[in-house]
Amino acid sequence: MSGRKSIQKAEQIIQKILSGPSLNFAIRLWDGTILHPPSGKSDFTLVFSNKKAFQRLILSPDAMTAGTLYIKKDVDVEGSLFKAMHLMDVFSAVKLTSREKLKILVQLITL
Amino acid sequence: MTTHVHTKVSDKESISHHYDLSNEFYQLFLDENMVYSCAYFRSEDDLSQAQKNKLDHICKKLRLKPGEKLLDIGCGWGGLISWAAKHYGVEAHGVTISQNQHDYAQKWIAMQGLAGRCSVEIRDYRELTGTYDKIVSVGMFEHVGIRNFPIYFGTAQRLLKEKGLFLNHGITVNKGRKRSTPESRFIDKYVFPNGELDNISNILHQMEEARFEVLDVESLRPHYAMTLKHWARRLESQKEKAIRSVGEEKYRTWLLYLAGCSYAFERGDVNLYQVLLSKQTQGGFSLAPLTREDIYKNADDSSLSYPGLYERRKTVIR
Repeated sequence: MSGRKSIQKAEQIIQKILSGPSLNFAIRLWDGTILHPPSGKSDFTLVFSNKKAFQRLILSPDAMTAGTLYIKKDVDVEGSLFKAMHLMDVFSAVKLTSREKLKILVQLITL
Repeated sequence: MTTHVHTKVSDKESISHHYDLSNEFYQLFLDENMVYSCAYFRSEDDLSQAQKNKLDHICKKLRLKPGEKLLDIGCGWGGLISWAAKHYGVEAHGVTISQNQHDYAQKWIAMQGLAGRCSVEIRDYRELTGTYDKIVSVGMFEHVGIRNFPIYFGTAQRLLKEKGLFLNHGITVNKGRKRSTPESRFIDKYVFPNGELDNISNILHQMEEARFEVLDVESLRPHYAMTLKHWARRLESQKEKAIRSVGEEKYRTWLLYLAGCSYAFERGDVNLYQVLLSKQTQGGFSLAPLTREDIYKNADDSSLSYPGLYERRKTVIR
């Protein structure tokens, strides 16, 4: 998959699973693309250093995966780390139908 | 759920993974007394003052008197034993199974001129002998393993004199919460291998099973959230030195664990309890006074607020 297409798909996935006015962080993808929260105000930026890190975190958004990616620097937090601690709650609060999940899974795998 | 074995050998390895990382690394974010446990804050106290408050809080709860024998199980870098010997005139003995902590504590004791009434040795709690007036254990029983609680509390019971006091200070997990979560698996893999948390009800049950009378139970949950935040900020401010000392991955691991634990205390997933116990096998009342008022006397003063005790201690030495 070409680089531009991967980024587009990643953006679509993020928009699907992360929405709402309470989001307080920006996301920077591995090509430098920055996605801002709907409120426009971000306390920190969640950085994905590579595509694989994105795939892994979206596939299993829990503290074990996020923590491992963070310590290996595949994922980073720019700004307040304390304010990023609720991230796993944000991810686990996402409610999707099995159909939506399957669609995201396919997008992720073919990213 | 992960089951942990907790033999003397495996415990030594687990402890070494965390506490033998590097003394200079821990010095970057701990206070000058190298206290690596929940501090006790009064309004705007900084970390250093809050740790001194905590040391006093423990010594006062134990109603330490000059000349008494105090045992510290899991004494860390020797902060509490030195404090108790220096300011409360006790004969303090600490045990740890971390080589780095032992070496540091020994130097720290000598540096403060406390050799002779304060000592440290490498010893597993299961191998302890002797008799003590008071026992304290701070932030150690998280490493004991739930299955070993009978041995752990039984050991404290065995080593204490009748009417002796034992203060156990440690982290607990919420009763409703699963023991194995992604967070706990991360901590187990990268930070504290073989650590195990239990809920306070079970712990109190185990203490009673070991024939202790439970005198006082205090939660310090907000204090630990604050302490961890202080540590994380201090570590972050020393980023370059920390990376030079332990490498970037360890630095990031410790920073994440400190920030993450602060969040866990804030959210209430985990708690911190100080439990004061008395060995009361022959009936009668414990040594603790009728009220807790004595604990809060001179609360605003720090180290030099015990001139009376200090003088009496001097007398003991002569």
